[in-house]
Amino acid sequence: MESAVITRAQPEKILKDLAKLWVDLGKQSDQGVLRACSMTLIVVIEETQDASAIGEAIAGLMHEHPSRAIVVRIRECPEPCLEARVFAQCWMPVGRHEQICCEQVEITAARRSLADVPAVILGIVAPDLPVVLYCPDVGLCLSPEFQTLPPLAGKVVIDSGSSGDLAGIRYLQSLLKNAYRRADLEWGRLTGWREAVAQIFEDSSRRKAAQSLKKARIVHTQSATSPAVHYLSGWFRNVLGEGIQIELLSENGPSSASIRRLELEAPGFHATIEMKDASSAELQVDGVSQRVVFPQWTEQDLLRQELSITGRDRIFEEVLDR
Amino acid sequence: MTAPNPFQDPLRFRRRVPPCAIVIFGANGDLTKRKLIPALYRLAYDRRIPPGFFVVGNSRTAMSDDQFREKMRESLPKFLEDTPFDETLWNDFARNLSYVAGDLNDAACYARIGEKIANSENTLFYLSTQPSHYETVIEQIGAAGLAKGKGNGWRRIVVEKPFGHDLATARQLNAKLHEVFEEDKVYRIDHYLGKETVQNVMAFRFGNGIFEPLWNRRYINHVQITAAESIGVEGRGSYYQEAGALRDMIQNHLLQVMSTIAMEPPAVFEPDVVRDERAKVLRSIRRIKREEVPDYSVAGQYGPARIGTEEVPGFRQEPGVSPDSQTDTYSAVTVFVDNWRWADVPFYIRSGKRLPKRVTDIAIQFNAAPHSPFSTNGEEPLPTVRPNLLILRIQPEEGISLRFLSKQPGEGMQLRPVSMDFNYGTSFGARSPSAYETLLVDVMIGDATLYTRQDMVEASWAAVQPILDYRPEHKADFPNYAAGTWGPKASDEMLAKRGHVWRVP
Repeated sequence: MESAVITRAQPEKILKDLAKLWVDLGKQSDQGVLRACSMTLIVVIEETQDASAIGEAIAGLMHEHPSRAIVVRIRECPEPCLEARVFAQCWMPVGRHEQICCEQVEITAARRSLADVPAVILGIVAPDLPVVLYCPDVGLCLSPEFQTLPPLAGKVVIDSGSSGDLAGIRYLQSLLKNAYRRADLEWGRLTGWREAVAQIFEDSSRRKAAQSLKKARIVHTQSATSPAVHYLSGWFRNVLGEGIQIELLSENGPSSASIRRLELEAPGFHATIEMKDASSAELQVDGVSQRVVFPQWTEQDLLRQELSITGRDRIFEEVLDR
Repeated sequence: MTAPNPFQDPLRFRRRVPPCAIVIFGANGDLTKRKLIPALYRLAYDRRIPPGFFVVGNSRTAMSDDQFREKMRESLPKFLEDTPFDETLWNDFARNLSYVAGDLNDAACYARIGEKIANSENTLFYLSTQPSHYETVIEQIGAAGLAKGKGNGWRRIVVEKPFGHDLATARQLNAKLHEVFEEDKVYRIDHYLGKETVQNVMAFRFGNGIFEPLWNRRYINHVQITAAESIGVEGRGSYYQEAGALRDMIQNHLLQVMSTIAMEPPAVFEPDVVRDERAKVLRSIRRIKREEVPDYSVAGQYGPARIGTEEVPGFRQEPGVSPDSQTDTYSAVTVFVDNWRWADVPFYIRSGKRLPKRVTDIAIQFNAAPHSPFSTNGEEPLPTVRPNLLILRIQPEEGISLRFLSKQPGEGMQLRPVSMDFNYGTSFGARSPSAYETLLVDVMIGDATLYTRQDMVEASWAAVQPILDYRPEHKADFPNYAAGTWGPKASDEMLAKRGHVWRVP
């Protein structure tokens, strides 16, 4: 459900539209509706980006992380403009009679009006609840106009994988560590690899080998300066210290993932994890092989992971700040 | 001691189940098809079952592996609740199910089970048989040498309730278990502790700063714990006749819930630290004298009634139940925890069948305001002294409600109670794992936090033992409540003696 008219983006007006939305929703439903909200989620995208994909991702997140979602769409136009409309995302949980609804506010702003957006958002964030800012496009995160938005949030999430270079990581590093909790969807994409490595050393008889690892060979399909390679190398150094030798190799192949193979070596020990298809890898240790599932995370899955972490992600931040 | 795995990231990695075998004794029974297989299937659905995992079912019924699989396959969709049935996933999962038919007294049966698990480093034995077979199975596992793990592997045993029939038999069962398994290999399952909302009690109490200062005798007047069922014994009359509400619900589930409400904050969330705190509460329960039993407990049994358009039989008319049965289908007890935090605060606990609705909750009633400036309106006293009530709802609508007074809109200062609700299901739309999923993962990774320990079991039996001793010597005038009502009048009177009334959940 959405508001009938697109209005000028004034906080008071948006709040009134939201209040009216709830009254209308209540009238339409025999059983009533429940409003669920555990945070404000601000998503900033260019108008050219696929708005329906973002809309779908937000709708999917609402079940687990109900929020007041504020989607800021940046429009390339010569005139200054700032418009807003309100929606509700509703669903009927299995076995219940009441609908659960979350609010969504869409603000469309000309790039030159972006400086006016923080004042609008400040008036409409859900009171006393965390504020998360998500910017999926690294190019947009780096634009001067965007820099007014992070101070609104306690957590800033980017996707450095969208650029293929280290620009996104550099941007996250530039944010004040103590002012923000920082997150990157690209780090989440590495969870399968990191978990497979941890799985090798879950066997207590191999725990010693973990401490004496001499070399990690990362075989990648893109560039040695891709965010994934940077993070994975940083993670090994963070766990094992600077003594570990990281060897980076580029290899073409069928894999669509940015990492293709990982080899770990210690005296008398060798382990390999290699992508076999888009969603599974083969893990070989001591001549024994095992298939492990690497789920193909969607943007929604990755964002869900990040929203589930309410405190600091110590390991990620250590790797990020290396 | 093995060094921790340096690559672990508990914030992001799911707890990993190690390769293991599960041997289910009593695999042809209800629990296996209703709870265990659906929980394991769901874990497989979530990709949490590792390669090298398999299940060996055992019961007396002659069945091939394929017949056992087919039997589980038939019932699975009925008991999956919120998980879709996926034929491909089932086929993968079913390959890891096998079956050994055999009598529990027959050593050859254990030899065949031993062959099945010979290559498994880790094995979990699950006692899902009639409780009368527990000791036999434990003895036979020991005699067959199955309790000793391979290499660094483990052997653990899960015991379903009842853990004994009274304090003496609980001790006897514990002694038998310890002949074969060390205590840290024994996992006594109480599925109430695996419920998300029971775990949430700890999050609520120890994750927030504002409640714990009020959580004591200075501010809390009394606590009511209710576990009501609207159904009767549903064909389990002959089993239930031997158990009754006190043994079936209060001695185990509800005293464990009470210990979660009354425990001191643990220093860390580690199995033995949490269990130590629970055990201390159970040991602090006031031991009542036999002559005091009528003041501290009430037994009830439902009689026939018409509920809506349905004629409902009384307990004594249920199949398999003796016409002069003295079994309690309702029990209520008053419990005092004799320590500094809870001295003289009554915990009223009740459980019954054929009550008006199915509900389990915990109500914390706070002391009323010491003085109210809104005491009269010239006509009749206003309910200004109505105390605040905090309700922790366990089922069916999991959540937390706080009742407080608010001014009614309009002229004057009219107050009325309002409720502020937190609904677990709507605040977290994500699916909650079932209690059995949680507890099965816990036992496979060796986390005993939500399992009960020997001393806890014995302390909870000791708490109810005087009542168990008293009741057979004093014939009750049953039935004493009609099906579809909130229990016998004597239960209301038990609270009235202390100036309290049962709330209507």
